[in-house]
Amino acid sequence: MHCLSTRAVAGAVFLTTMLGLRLSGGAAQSGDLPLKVEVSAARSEAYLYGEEVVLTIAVTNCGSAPVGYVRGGGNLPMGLRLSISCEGKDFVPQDGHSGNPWGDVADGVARLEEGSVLKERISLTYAYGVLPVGRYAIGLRLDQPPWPGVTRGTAVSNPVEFTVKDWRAAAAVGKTIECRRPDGQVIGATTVQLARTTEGELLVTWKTTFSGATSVDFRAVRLPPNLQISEGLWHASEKNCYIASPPDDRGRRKLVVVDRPSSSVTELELRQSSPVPVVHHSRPATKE
Amino acid sequence: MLQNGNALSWILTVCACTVTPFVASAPSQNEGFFRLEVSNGGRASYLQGEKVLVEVWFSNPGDKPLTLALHRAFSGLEIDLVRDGEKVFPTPGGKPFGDLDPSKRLAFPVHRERKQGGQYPLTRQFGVLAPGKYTVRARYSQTEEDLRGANPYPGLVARDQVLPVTTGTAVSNQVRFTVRAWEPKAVAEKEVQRVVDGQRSIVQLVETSEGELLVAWKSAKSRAGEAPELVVVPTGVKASVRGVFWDATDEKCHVLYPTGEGEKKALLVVDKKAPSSVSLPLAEATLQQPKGAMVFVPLAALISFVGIAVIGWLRLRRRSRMSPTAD
Repeated sequence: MHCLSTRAVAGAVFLTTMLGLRLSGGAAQSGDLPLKVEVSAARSEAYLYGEEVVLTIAVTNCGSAPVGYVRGGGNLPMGLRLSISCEGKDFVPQDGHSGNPWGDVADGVARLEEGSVLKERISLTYAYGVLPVGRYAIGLRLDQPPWPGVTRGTAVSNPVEFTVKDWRAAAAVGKTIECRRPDGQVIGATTVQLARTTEGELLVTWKTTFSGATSVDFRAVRLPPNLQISEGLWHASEKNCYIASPPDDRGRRKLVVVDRPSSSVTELELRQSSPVPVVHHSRPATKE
Repeated sequence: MLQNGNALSWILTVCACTVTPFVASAPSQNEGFFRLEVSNGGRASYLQGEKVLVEVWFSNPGDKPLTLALHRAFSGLEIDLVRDGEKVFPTPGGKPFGDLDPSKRLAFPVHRERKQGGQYPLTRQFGVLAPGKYTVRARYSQTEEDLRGANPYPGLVARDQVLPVTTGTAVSNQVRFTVRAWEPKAVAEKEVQRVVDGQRSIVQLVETSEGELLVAWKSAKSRAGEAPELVVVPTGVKASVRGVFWDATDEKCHVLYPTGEGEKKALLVVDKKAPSSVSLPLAEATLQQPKGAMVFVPLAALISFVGIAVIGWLRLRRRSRMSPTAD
């Protein structure tokens, strides 16, 4: 509880600083380290509830000397802390989520040369769970500890804001798949839905519930807006969804492959085959 | 060295469970040395061009721990491949087991009941296997010199741990399989670009003379010193190649085909890398209004209509009462 309140105060102070910076001219970087910490959301428009929220983080050495830093599990320095608030309140990770996308294990000291960049994409959904509907503000702060070989100081990122908005299905088709253990025992169920929202967006959603557990694993992936699904075909599994549009006037079908773990959408164009028959020439009989 | 030259792709798997491989003959080894087993998962036959994957397992049959000092790519392991009674030699440029620096061996203890192994595509060393009856066997030798040059495997050997000296030779069991030729009846093809090096290659969707669909990836040009690549993946689906909808990349092929049961269609997803093929039944993607909304919307409309009608009627009634009468 004490820890939470400390976090809340620290987060509030940090976000106030961030918003202050933004109002006073939107400085992209501050702190006494010659590092520019940039954070951006993968999408400029609002996220729909259940969509994976991905941030791109870049740390650039814009000084004239190398900067020593503690290497963490990924590409980024370990002292980097993420502050996230929803509707002005410190946002707490949901049950089963660490809220720390980088881990706490140091992997030695490294140097970031002048002009070099450390870059990484992180999933907020992975670290915090599915983000509830609301307006979010995010910022990063790098505090370098007093370790040998590490350049002491702080760096603060630009602020980023995004919205997670609610949606309702105007029409949908779905199927339910049992989740089984390797020994065959049913441990839950996943409902996959192909839905059109009241605002006309097309989505694939996966909702997994495990027997005896209160938590629900939910994921929504937005489909290309021009996808024609009326009279189309589909197949869904726990991890993938395939949607084939009806043939267009050129006799082609669009195939969309949606991957739940990576939230990726791949569009393929299926063409009608025009096969060439293979003629097998038999050897002419020779007279001896 | 394994596929794509990535030594780490040979995953060193330690498993405590006992796996029963397809054993056609018993393996042999010196006393106090490893037992070596080869398996292809029990597959009896392949189509020409298919990847032939073998698993090689080291195990400790004794009570005392043994030291295995091999490269991440299993340096020192030899594969004997015989077709129709004649030895098959590696193709020029074919990557054999253990083509890396022998001084980079890593040593670690293997305890009783433990198995250590990995998977290796024979085609990497021997190229596309010609039709015929094959036997495959693995052989492994380890000398004191191998142990002296080896470094302790990080994470598996404690800092001051002294590893026992294990030397000897082991010969695995023999695995038998057949490679069958196939004939195309009709072919649809597409040119694609390889992700690895940007080279062009051809993907063919083939209906064989036996009426089965298969997908063949053929490199248009061979890499330096290597035989042109051919990867064939059978699908197990009997269908005509005519009129199907399909698309392919260097890694996957998707085919939408009629199943032959009325209007039903299925999607064939063929993976070159795994290699594998799966047929997925397709259903109509007809979106319908959620059940709750279907009941709620008409009900809400009806209530509103009745409400408005009642209010209107009351107002009219009041107005007619208040208006002066012409008596």
